[in-house]
Amino acid sequence: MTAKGLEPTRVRGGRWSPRTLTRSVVASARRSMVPYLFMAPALALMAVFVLYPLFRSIQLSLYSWDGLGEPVFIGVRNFQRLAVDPQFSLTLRHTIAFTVGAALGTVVIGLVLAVAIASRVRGWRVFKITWFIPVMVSMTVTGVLWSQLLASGDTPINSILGLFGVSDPPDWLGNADTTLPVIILVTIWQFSGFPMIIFLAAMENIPRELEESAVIEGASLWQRTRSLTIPLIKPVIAIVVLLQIIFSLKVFDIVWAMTQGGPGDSSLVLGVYLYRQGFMFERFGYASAIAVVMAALIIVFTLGYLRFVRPASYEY
Amino acid sequence: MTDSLNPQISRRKFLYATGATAAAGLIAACAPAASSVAPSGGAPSAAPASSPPPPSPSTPPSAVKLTFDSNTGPNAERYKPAVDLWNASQANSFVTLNLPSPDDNAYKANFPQIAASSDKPDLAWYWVGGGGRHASMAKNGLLEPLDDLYASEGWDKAYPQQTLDLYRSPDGHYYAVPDTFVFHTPIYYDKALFAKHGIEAPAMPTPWHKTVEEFYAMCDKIRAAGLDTLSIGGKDAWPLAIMKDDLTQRLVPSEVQVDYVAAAVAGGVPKYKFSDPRFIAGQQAFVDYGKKKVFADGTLGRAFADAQAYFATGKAAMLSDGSWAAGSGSLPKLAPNMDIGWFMHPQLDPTIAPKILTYAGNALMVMADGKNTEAAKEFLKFLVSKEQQDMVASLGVLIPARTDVDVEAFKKGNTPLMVDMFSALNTVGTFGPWGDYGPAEPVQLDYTHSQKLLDGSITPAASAAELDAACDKIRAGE
Amino acid sequence: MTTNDLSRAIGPRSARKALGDIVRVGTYAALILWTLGQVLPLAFLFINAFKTDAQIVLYPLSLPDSPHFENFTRMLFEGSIYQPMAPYLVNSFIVTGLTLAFLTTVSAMAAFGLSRYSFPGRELIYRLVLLTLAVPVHAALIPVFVLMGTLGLRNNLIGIALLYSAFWLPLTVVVLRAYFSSFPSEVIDAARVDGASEFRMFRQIVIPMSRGAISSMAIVNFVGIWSELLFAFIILNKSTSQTITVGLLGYTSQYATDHALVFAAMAAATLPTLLFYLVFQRQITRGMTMGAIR
Repeated sequence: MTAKGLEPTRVRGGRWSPRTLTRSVVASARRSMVPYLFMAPALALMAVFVLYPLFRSIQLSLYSWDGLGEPVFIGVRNFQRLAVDPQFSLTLRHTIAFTVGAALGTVVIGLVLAVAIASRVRGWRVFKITWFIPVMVSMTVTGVLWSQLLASGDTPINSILGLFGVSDPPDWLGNADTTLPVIILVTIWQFSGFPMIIFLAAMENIPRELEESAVIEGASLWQRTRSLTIPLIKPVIAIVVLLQIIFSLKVFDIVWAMTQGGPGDSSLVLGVYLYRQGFMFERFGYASAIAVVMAALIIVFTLGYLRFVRPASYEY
Repeated sequence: MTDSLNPQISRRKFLYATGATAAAGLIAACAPAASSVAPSGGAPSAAPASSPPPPSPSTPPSAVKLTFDSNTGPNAERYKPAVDLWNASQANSFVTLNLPSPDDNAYKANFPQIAASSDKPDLAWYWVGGGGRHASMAKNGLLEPLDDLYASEGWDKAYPQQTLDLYRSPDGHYYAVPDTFVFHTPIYYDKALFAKHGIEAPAMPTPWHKTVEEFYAMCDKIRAAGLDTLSIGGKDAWPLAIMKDDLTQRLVPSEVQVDYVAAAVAGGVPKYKFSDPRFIAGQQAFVDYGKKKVFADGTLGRAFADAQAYFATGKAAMLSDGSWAAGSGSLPKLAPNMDIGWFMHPQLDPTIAPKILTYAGNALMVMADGKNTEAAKEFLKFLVSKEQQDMVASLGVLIPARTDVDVEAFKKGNTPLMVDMFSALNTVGTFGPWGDYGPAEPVQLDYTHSQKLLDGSITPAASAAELDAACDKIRAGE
Repeated sequence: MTTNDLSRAIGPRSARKALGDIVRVGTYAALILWTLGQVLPLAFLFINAFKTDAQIVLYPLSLPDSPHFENFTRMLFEGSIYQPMAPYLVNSFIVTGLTLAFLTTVSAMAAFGLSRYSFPGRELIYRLVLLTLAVPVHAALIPVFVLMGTLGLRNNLIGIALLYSAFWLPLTVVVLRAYFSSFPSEVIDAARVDGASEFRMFRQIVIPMSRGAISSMAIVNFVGIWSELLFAFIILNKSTSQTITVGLLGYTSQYATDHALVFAAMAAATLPTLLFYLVFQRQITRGMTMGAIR
């Protein structure tokens, strides 16, 4: 929608003096510049702090650099090495497992919670507030807190499990088999509230009459949810799944705070691996290659997802 | 999208939200930021700091301003009063202590970037070896050579030869000077608990079991008494790895060890391979420890600090830790009523005497191409002077690296436990392990492997192969 | 026990109702459990912040004997092995406040430009913004470090606020664009007829009416900015400029043997965001939803 007023302003009586003509030309020039002026600060910020570093990162992936001296050009060696690096494939597997677990878990539970609130169970107002609180806690604090709760031996979680008759719990964060699942569960604990809130808003847009007629026809909550609610909010679910997948692929903070990728690399994910290669082993070129692969993965997946799933956009 | 926004309420809330945060921010920005010029905390002793900070001396206008970076923890404790002393006594030099990273891992990883940037300090504490990047910094010309000071200050005589060898870079120059050192890994135990259950610990002059079977038998006795055995911070990996180095020392003849260590400084990788059967035997001894339940339950999930607490609260009868734990702010503070004794890991080969493994890589360095390198060197001379090092000894937290430290000063400031261990250094003998000085990547791999060896996901032979591969990459210059 | 058995026992309708009741009660119990699960760990955090170190280690689940406020004063103001946290808290407030100020201004303008005007390159720019959402922060980490050095913005709170604004722009722009797309045209047209310049119209009419959406996005972004770790711990390397998330790391390091201080520090790092949430939680739900439904 173009702005009105691109026509020169008219003087009363329809006469055009040189002054009004100049003014109106300047005005219309200014008007067509307007959208660019609005966009300028944002574009400048992004160009400097996001796009330029991204470009440099892609560049760096073709070099070998210890971070201190001069980068040395090596072409695609980093990528070749990545392809045969067993730790990289391990990391990828862990990251994908984490992503599937965390994205699915948060979305499914978020959906259940949203349905509960939308159906106005007793105490729904309290639920609505409390179920979102962990989202507001920083991931580092969550990581440290749960490390304390799950530490081996005589700890809170194990004591509670003891009440339920679980007498010999595994060493949650020390046993290579349990670390990744535990981190996934903690992530679900923290972030289920996020999809919940979005689904809830979408559900509240469902017209009352549809709900009511389903109730009148004797459909149970489960039937209503399955046949009415979910299909109607499908586009929202699709978008939320995508967002959760993207966030999960990028995870760093919570893994670093809980296990730093250990023990024995059992919870090593891409973000941690990148940090380790760059900042601990001084292989900044290699780390940049990992970053490029990560970014490419996410972008390709996103584009494919959007094309395939086609979440309908409600443009107004 | 219909929306029942009420502009009135929203406006108020909006003003509240962004306005309050931004206003608080702006006001705080105008107020003088709490800086590290005037250090907080009072007396350097172990007593809780409740006295007001000493009045910070005003900077004389002609003074050269120096920045000194360090990590947090006991070093920061020890440098704050040293900096104050210097500033009070110097008319034309003023030092500001800066602590760039609150966490050692972050400091280790990030400091070299700082050293290469315009933010670099004039001098800094940093690791030589220890998984840090001192070798890279020296290679890239970021550090000022200190050869002249070694000669003029007599540093070439004040430290053990082994330490000097480690500090000498491949190009023959010294780019750092030792400040303090630590040693590992003694096994701490609760004397009263042992006595109560009739368990005897080995004592000086050979504070170790003559065979590993004797040690296993002792652990069985401890378990029979209902206690947990050796507490260690398995979750952090490095406590396991450095303890593993102790066992390796017991099985690998010293010329192999020397090669490992010397090579760490020279090219970064040793001549001998990790697949040397003697080295693998060391790894196997570590695996056997796990199999014979020497380690307490839940070791791999227990962080370093929690391991100390596990011992301090009497749940485990022993703790595998370093000399720092005997410092007055550490175990003695956690368990004030415990009479703590110590002994060493058992002898594994009758022909090889156990030694105490020391890490002397706590070093001070001067940044190259600074504006005030001469002034920085003056301050450096002060920090590692005999007087300062005697003061460090009396603090009871760190062990000064100089060999000519006043023993009485040391005795005065340290717990009996620490004094006891310290005196054993000369009689038992010391050694520098590879794991402390090797390049970052194989060392990190070693840390990870120490966890994997215990949970069975890697064998000693496979671990050795991977370590060799990592070293090969470095030999090939990658 | 199947529905059939139950039916035979008490009649079909009662059976269905009974099973339905069991399911309902069971589900409700599950919801209660989930609520407890969400809230109790945080309660654990705050309760332990008031205990002494020994109490935390020995009796993790019990209440403190008396509230040990000195954990907080020690953590905030004393040096010793750990850094005092008070300056870190202040820095966090400054950085978050500045970031929100820049971010909301710049993204509101950009979102408005993208939604209410048509100009060549509009779709392209929008796609670009959307795509940067997908990019991992880590990809830019190392070059950003070097860039901030070149610009002289390391350890500069304004510098890191600009950096954060740039990275939080995409999400905010996308959401606000959707919002502005639905903004009533009549108001804008009326303003234009009155002869106001575009920018004045934006500033004096659109912004005041959009306070709800903008403040919702500010609140949504708050916790992410407040608890940002990766950039902070690499770019802020002087203790005078570090934020509380960085400072918190020091309490989990190998020298941290005092659990009481760790918990107190975590409580201090969490309290501002929790308070923020509890006061403005209605705004947040509005903020979250606008982006997804577009």
